Order: sequence, then C-alpha cells, then structure tokens
Amino acid sequence: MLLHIKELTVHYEGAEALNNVTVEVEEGSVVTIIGANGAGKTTLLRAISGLEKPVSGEIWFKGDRIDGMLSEAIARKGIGHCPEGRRLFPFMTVLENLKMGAYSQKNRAGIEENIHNIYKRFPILKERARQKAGTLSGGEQQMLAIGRALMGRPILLLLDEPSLGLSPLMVNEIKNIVTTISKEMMVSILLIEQNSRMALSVADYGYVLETGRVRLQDKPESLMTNDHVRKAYLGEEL
Amino acid sequence: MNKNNRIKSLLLLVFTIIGFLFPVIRNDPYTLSLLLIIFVFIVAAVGFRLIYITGRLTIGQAAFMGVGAYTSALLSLNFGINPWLGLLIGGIAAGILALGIGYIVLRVGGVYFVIITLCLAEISKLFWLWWRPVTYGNSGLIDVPGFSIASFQFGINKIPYYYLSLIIMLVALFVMYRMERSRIGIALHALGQNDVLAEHLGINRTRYRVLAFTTASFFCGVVGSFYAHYIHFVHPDQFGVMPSIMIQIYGIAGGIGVFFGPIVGSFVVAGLTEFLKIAKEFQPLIYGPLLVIIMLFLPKGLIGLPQMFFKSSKK
Repeated sequence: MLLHIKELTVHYEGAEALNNVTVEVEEGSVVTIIGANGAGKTTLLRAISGLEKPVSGEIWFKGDRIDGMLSEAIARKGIGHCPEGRRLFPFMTVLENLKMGAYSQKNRAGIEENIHNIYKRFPILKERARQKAGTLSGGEQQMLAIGRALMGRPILLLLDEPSLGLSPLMVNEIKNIVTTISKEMMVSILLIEQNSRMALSVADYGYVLETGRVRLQDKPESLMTNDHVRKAYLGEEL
Repeated sequence: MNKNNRIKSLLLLVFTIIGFLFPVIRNDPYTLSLLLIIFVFIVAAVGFRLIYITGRLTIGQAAFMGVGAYTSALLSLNFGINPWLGLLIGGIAAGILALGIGYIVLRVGGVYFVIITLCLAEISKLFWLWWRPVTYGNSGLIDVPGFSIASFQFGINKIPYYYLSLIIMLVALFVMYRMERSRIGIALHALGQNDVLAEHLGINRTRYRVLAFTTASFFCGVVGSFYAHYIHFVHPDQFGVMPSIMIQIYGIAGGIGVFFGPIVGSFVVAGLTEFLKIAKEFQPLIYGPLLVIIMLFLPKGLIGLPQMFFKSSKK
C-alpha cells in the first residue's frame, strides 16, 4: 500500500470537514475522489500534504506515518501536490515556475534533467519557457501546474480539480495527461474532481465523498452503474 | 538579459563612485545634509519593498526607525554606550520587536495588515510620548552624543556623517539585494504572487514573511539610530504615521516592481520635498495628488518612465 489514510477526522476553521475517512491508494494506480463542493475533498489533500492538522486518525505513506510531519518533509518524501484554482506564480516565467516545483528538493543536480523530461512531455511549455505564466491559456496553465508538480519527482501526485474551468477539449487532454503520467512515468495519482465522468473514466478505483464522509467506494465501472452516483454525479435521469 | 545586467552593474558602479566623490566635488553642507537624509530614507523604502514583495504592504516602518533611535540614544545618554555599538543595538532592538510583532500580525493580509501597521506607527509614537520618566515625552531627548573615531569627533562638518550614512546605505542595500536574488528571495516573491501555492511547495508563509519583515526593520533601526546621533535630538514626532507614509510614497512613486525603484523614488520625492519647503503645511496637498497621478499614469513608478518613453517612441 502506497498511501493509507486511516479513519481521518479533520476540522477546518472550526467545522468538521472530514469524518472518519479511510482511503487507500495502491502503488501505480489512479484513485479518484468525487464529491460536490464542500464535501471535504480539498481538505483531504491538504491533510495529506501536511497543511491541515488532523483531529484524529493516521496517514501512512510508504510505510511511514506522515501526519504531523512538516509539509516540506512530506513533499520531499515524494508527494507532489497540484492545488486547485490559482495554480501558478503569474509573474514568473514558465521556466521559473517549473524550477519552483523543485524548491524543497535537496538534490539539485537532477533539476535540469527533470526540466528536459517535462519539456519532452509538454513541448508547448518549452515553446513558452520565457513567457510569464500569467499569459498562458487555461489549458497551458494546467499543464504547467502538472509539470511543476512533477518537478519534485513525486511517487504520488495529488491533483485537485485539474479540469476546473477548462474547455471540453482541454478536459480530454488533461485526461490523457493523467493516463500518461500514471502509466509511463509510473506516478500514482490521487485525483479529485467535480467532473465525475472524466474522473471515473481514468481511475482504477473511486471514492464518493459526501459532507466529509465516504459514502461509497468501488471500482469505477461499478460506481458508474450505481443509481446514486448516476443520479447525483453523472446527471442522468433515472 | 546578460547585457542588461552588465549595463546595470556599470550604472551602479558609476553612482557609487559619484556617491563617494560627491563631497570632493561639492562640499556644500546643505546638499550633503539633504543627501544623507535621503540615504536614510532609501534604506527604509527599500526595506518597505522587501516586505511588499511577500504580499504585505506596511505603513509602519518609521516605528522601527523610532525604536532604533530611542534605544541607541537612551543607551548612550544613560549608560554611555558608544554610538557605534548603538547602531547595531538599535538595529537589533528593532529587529527583535519586528520578529515578535511580525510573527503575530503577518498572518493577517490585505488591508487588515495595512491598518495594523498604521496603528503600530501611531502606538509607538504615543509610547515615546507617554513614557516620560525615560523619554521625556514631548520634550524629546536632547544632546544625544555624536559619533567619534578615537579622539576625532564627527562635528559641524557634514562630510564624516555623509560618508557614514552612505556606507550604512550601501551595506543595507547590498544585504537586501543579495537576499532578494537568493533562494530566500525566490520564496519571498513566490509568497507575494501566490502564497497558497508557495505553501504547497514547502515554503512556510509566516516564517519567510517574518524574515523579510525583520530584515527590513533591522535596517530601519540602524538608520533610525544613525539619525538620532546625527541630529543629536530624538522626538516622538519624527517617527509617527507621516514619516511611515513618506517611506511608502518613496517606494511606490519610484516603482515598487524593481529593486531600484524605491531608490529613485527617494531621490526624486525627497528632492521635491526640499523644493516644496515654501509650501510648508500644504505639502501633503501636493503629495496626495502626485501619488494618485503616478499610480494612474505610471503604474510602474518613476523608474518605468524611460521604458515607457522608449516603447512609445519605438512604435
């Protein structure tokens, strides 16, 4: 087991954001957590990254207990976090943004090589290397954000709403990127999405989070045929 | 890029040499005293910018100048501590205060932080006013000793003071410049542009902001202490809200986006102040609109002026 979250309870600004949540991510897999706004998805990722302190429960990564560790240390252990919304440093160039991804890394030798690999994966970023990140299109910004998260050579990548605000075409592109990262770069992914259809189509396993609790968990194929999921998350008329 | 940097360092060298040779070229006490006060405010304004790049706007920096000035003046008056040592102690006192206050208030952002620093400036002034047994309140501290090297007293002649303030400024600018160009500086800029993301990348928000705040305030304390020993007089009014706002005007008018902006701003606006001395109490009436005009038409500040000119002539 790469990541094991055991009975995690987190309070966010006084309110209960997560209640007794247990989530597991196997090595090499894509796991998605779907849920509405305010279900606690972002809080869960922040707790994994050490940015929220759990009230109770445990988080284990590669056999080490990481809850209570500093966020820098967690990042160094191999967890990359790609937060939602404003994902870039708008006044830094594309290249500078990529370098920021390796900020807490102790080994600074591999940075050039990492940048090279990311340019190979996302040629558009190489083209725009000297451009200010704030001038990129939405899709390019998301690519840069993912590229930056990969700069830390993560074993596990936490993706928070990568499809947010993107055109359907770009959403498809992001889907391909997620698949590529997990299959070719051997990075496990914990994907959080409101776009449930997209998320379930790339994932190996899925959780449904509702008001801080895990309501359902199953293989995506089964979740997609589940009545509750179809009605509440896929917008199908039953 | 590289060529640009070379031009920049050449310009810098030229200005430094001019700075050092100036008293030889023109030994005029009035000009020298004006310049050395400008140097003092340059340090404060560049410090203001150092805090600004982390995403926090302060209008309380004069409070730290006051801490430096009073600490050093009181130590030399009451305990005979050498003003040279006072420079350092004044800086450290301001730094420690900034560390303590910063750790609490830097968690707050936006306009709330601005208001807190505004209060800080005013509270510090009231503190000096009301702590009469020590600070003599509104009478201020008089006969603050000046600097001396062995038996040579820095006296009526402005030249030694001019050089001292020039050197203090250069040291402060060097340290803050290096800091901004270092890994720490990258973190400071990252915080200013997107602090949520910076935190995700392992940059501790409060810690780095406190570092910038403390560094800037340390140098404010040093120049405050210098100021006290230079004019031999310390009064609460020297460090209230108005000087803090002036520091902010120097920074923003000059151009907050680049390191040299506040330096240009200090020269131009402080020079203008001298020019406007005739206007006396109406000066704020001129500064206010001036700042608004600069913000409206020169969003990059005075330092953006040549660039704008260059661009428009190119078209």
